Amino acid sequence: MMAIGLLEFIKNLILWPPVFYMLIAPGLITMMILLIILIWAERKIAGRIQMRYGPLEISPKIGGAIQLLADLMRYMFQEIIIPRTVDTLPYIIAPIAGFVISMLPIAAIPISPIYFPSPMNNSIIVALALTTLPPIFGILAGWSSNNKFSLIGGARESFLVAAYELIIILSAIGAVIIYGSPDFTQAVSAQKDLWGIVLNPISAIAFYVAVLMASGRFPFEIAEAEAEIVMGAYTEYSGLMYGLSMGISYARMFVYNLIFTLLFLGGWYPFFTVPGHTFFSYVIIPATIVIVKALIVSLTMVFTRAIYARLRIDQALGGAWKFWFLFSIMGLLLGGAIVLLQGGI
Amino acid sequence: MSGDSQVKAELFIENPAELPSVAQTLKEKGYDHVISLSAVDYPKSNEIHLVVHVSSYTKKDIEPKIFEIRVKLNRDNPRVPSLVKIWPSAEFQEREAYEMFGIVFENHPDLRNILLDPEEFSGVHPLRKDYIVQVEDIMLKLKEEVKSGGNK
Amino acid sequence: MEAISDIGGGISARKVDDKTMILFFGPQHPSSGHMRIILKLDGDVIIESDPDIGYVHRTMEKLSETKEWIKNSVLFERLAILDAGNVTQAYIIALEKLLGIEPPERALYLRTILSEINRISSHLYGMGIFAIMLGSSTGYMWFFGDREIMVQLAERITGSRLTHTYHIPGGVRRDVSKSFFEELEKGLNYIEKRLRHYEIMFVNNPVVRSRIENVGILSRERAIDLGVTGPNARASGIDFDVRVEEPYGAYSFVDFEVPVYKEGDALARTFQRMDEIRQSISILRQLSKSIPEGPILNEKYLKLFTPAMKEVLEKDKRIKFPAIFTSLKPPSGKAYGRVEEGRGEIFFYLESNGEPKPYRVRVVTPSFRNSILLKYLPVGYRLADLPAIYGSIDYFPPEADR
Repeated sequence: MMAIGLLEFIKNLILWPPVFYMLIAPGLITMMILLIILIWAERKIAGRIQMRYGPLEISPKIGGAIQLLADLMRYMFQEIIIPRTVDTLPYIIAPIAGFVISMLPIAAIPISPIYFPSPMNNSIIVALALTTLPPIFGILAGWSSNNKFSLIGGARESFLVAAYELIIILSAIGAVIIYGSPDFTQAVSAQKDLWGIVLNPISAIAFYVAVLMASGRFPFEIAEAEAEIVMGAYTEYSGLMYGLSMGISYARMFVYNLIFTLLFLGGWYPFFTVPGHTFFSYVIIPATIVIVKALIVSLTMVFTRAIYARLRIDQALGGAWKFWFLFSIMGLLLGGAIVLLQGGI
Repeated sequence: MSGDSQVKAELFIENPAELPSVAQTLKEKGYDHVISLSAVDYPKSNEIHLVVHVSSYTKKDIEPKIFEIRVKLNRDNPRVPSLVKIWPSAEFQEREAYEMFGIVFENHPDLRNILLDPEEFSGVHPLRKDYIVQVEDIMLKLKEEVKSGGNK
Repeated sequence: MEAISDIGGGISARKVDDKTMILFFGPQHPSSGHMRIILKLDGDVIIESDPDIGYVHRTMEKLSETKEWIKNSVLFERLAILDAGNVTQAYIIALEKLLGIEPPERALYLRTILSEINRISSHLYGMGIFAIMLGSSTGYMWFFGDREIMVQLAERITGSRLTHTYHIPGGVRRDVSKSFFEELEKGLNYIEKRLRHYEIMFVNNPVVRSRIENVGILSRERAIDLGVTGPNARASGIDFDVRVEEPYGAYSFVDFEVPVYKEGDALARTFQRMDEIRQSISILRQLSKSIPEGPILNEKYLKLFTPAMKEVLEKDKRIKFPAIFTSLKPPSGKAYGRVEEGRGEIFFYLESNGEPKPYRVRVVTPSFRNSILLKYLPVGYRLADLPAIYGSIDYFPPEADR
């Protein structure tokens, strides 16, 4: 009796939305699996373009797919060296908090029309607000490292964040105006017939480019440029903390892509239900559709690794303020024009 | 080089103070950059010869193509006016001659060691013939003079 | 830069002011090479730059006074192992002037073939390092991958990939077989096709182009004053190439152009190097068509061969040294030799007093002459331009420090 009650309790605990979202999908476990697939695809694609094999040593029969697990194990066993001259508490907190908080917006992003962890009235605004938190920990890491290169990296990060996250928010508002409510579920159900990218392409393009720059992956990691400032804010980190700091960029990029999917790519449509299996049809199927769409967008972003070089900080900021800012304001105006055409809010 | 062209291709200066005026004349003739500035040590006659090779980028038909200037310096106190004002390309090479031979270039803007460590090699000039390279044992430090390891 | 002063207790100090930051772009840096640049920064703009070279000083000039004449060519080849053919050629040209002998014609052609192969591989290496400093990993992999072809061709001629030691006084050490020229042609066709890909992917890539255009501008007067050499000078409008001014090897038997650009920025230097690769390909094609048959070593030394050595020469086509080489005693005198290496002009000055070991060898490498650019060029540009400038002047620290 006790055992059956315990099993029932654990099953209800796992299927409780907050736990399910943060732990299974699209939280920790899904994120880990997707990170493995994404980083493997990035290295293989880059290898193919650059006339080499990419990872092939660890599991040659499946093309080196679990290379990332080997790298993670190496980071776990590597000694964490904390230099004597750093400010110890912020130094240790910065990458850990950065990684955890970069996954926090998942609590506000639904992957199913009726199964979500928190009230959805203002979910778009809450999610966007939470995504702006991780760069603060990057700047904290740069400051506490007591190293001139980290200082320059932290300063660059603050400039870039101020410019590009503003563009992200403006583009998201450009889409929200069309849907009429700051609620993800309503935004997705308004895209039943026509996806957001067709309704407001200007905002979609501005959002995509701003995500490339704001999430900071090679070759757009100006705040961590290896050829100039030796890893920027995370220069003094080693071992698992270094691995976490590399994971922050990928985690942020994936969360941004989830928002992109829900706002511009139709969310979980085409939606179909299988009669008789409520959990399966209302949770697993929309989750799979959303995650696969976000994965495809992420794959296009990692493809740029093999093509572009790194911009200079003043070129990146000049481009943001002179061009992309005005572009996203045009997207706002386009959204407003479409609403007027449809006969008012 | 020096034997087979009819035009005089080298000049030997006995007095170091004449060097700037000779350099100025050569520059007006068209020699506009320094290829090599270095020295040769003759301990037997107590001399150091400063050897400068200059050439021309602007005048293609100048003869000879490379002109050599040799300046005789006293080995115990080698001093010569610096050529940086006339040929800026000599700046790093004069620093190298200073640290390797001990030649002091007067009015050089920044005369300090360029290749060697300033703390270990101040006052010691390795390319002179009387600098013996000492071999240190890796595990033990031997205090005796190392005769066999010295290179002449 | 303020001087370092001793404030007692074994501590050195340097005075700084409030608005600027001193940054040691030091030897422990992913893209500084084996040297340190001490930068004074005002925010993101470089105000002063002081190159601190000498980290890989190998005392080659002093060492050369302890080795016999023939052994020194092995020593000096380590100056720039990517370009080893060109470096030893300069030393051997000076030594041949002292000895008063000349190599036969086939040896001149073979020397020039090796020089041009080394020049292409040195330019590809320089551009690969430039690409990774800018953040373009594709450029890096492509340039290094294609350089492999040139290194393998050098192995066909000389027997080793990088440190060839191919030149000896009076000729060359090995002869080539007929099949070598077919492989050479295949390799050159491949590189020629790839040059177009490089232009599309790397030089005309909008991000790379905006990083290198108008960066590190060197005007013609400044270049003449500072005495820079090689592709850096030719990209600033100076029309000077040692292969044209004082021809050596087989250069007087071929036609080639010397590309010259006027703008003097990093983009002009990159275009200059790609054009030089094209010219090298054309020179190699002309040489492989018109190479004559004949001996590969001067008659005076061939007469000293024993029958066993002659047999090795017939069968394997390689030279075993006659005994005179170990105690070569050139008559007393002095000579110079200059050669256009991949990075510029290398100059050897030799003084002999009749002994088996040299009295003085002076070597000035192109990177040492170009190192003055690291003091004057970055001033006024941003911190992120420093790797771009460094990569575009193709500075190689082991060669500069000797």
